[in-house]
Amino acid sequence: MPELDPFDARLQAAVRAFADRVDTRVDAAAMAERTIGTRQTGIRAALGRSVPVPVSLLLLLALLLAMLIASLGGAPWDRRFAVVPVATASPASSDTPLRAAWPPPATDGKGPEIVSGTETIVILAQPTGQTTASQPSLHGGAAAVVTDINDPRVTGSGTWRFDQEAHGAIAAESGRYHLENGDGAWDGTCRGGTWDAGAASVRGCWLTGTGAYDGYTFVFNMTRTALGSGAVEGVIYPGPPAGP
Amino acid sequence: MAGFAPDTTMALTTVRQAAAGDAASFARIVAAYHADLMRVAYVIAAGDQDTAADAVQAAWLVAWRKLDSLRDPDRLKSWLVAVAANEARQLCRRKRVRTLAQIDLGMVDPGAPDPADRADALDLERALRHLSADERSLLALRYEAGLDSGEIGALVGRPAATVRWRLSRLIARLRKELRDA
Repeated sequence: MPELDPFDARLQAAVRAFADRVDTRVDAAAMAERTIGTRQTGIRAALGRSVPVPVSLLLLLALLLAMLIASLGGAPWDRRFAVVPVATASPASSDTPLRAAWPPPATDGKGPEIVSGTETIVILAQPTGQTTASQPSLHGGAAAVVTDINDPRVTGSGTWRFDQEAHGAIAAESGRYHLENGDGAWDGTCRGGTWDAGAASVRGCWLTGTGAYDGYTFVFNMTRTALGSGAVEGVIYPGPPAGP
Repeated sequence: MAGFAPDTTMALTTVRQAAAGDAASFARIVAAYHADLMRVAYVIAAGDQDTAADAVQAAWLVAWRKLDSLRDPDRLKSWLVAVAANEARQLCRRKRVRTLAQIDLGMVDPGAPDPADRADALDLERALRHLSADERSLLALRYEAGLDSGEIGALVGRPAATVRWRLSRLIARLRKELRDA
């Protein structure tokens, strides 16, 4: 660092005195464990090795393909249980055919795209409240999320703020999702369900873009089978979220 | 906090082992740098402890996932600080952190330093209220992390000249505000 002039030195002393007030205590092992828990059980690890494509995504895709072949024959994207919601993209208006090869390659970050990747989640606050048979609601859950998706527009970090309705060993979830990166942000709502004490979950999200993504919608499904990362599949398209 | 000369405090093997998925190595990195990250995040968060903690927690998550992409393990500390600063800046943007934790001047601890000694810090707090998260990030990287314009530029993907220009404007503004305070 170059030599400081008197004002610089005063400013530096003031900044550092200000920073001295922060509580920096940490249980490093616990912090590391909490963070790493996502990767040890993460979907990019298979037999202790890192693989370029999330394993659960491959499994999900294999399952999806099997379902499509068994149940739909030649018109797989016309049916309701397609992982990528068909209501959000029209083949006639899309440069990317909906039946593109899986997994889709990295996109050019423009126009309508089929996207896939991962979402890693760290719970910042568990939802709280008293649950009874008639009042199963929990409120105020919050999580930090980081997405790593094959389209730079939807790769970033953000928050997932959610409420839950407990029903025995499972819970329905709903809340607001925010994702952003240096060029813009995505905001919207999600609904889903969770089980295995929150370790596993599914969630569908409809987000609208701002900034560089103004006018676009990002809709995705997230499937997580263990703590940490989940598989994301979805589409980005120009236009508002699809109606009911 | 020392400057960001090539980091010799964290053995390269530790970084490489952590990048390969070794939990104990990653815990050593957390123990070594958590305080540095918290200090930078705290300045960017304008004194909001919770926001700083959330930002650093998110930063560790990013660091864990991206550690194997760190091209120069010698620069681990500056890279971690940049990740934490970015997370703090984004959190502040979302929360629109504008207010600072208040210092309760009514409670006097007999063993504490004379409040007059903290005049600079108090003036700075007032000045920070008027800065954006981006500007506080610049301030934190420059004066808390001790980075120069070139290093900041390399970390945030901006030309050094742009960083230098923004810093000079920020310092001029702070100089005026602190003088007028």
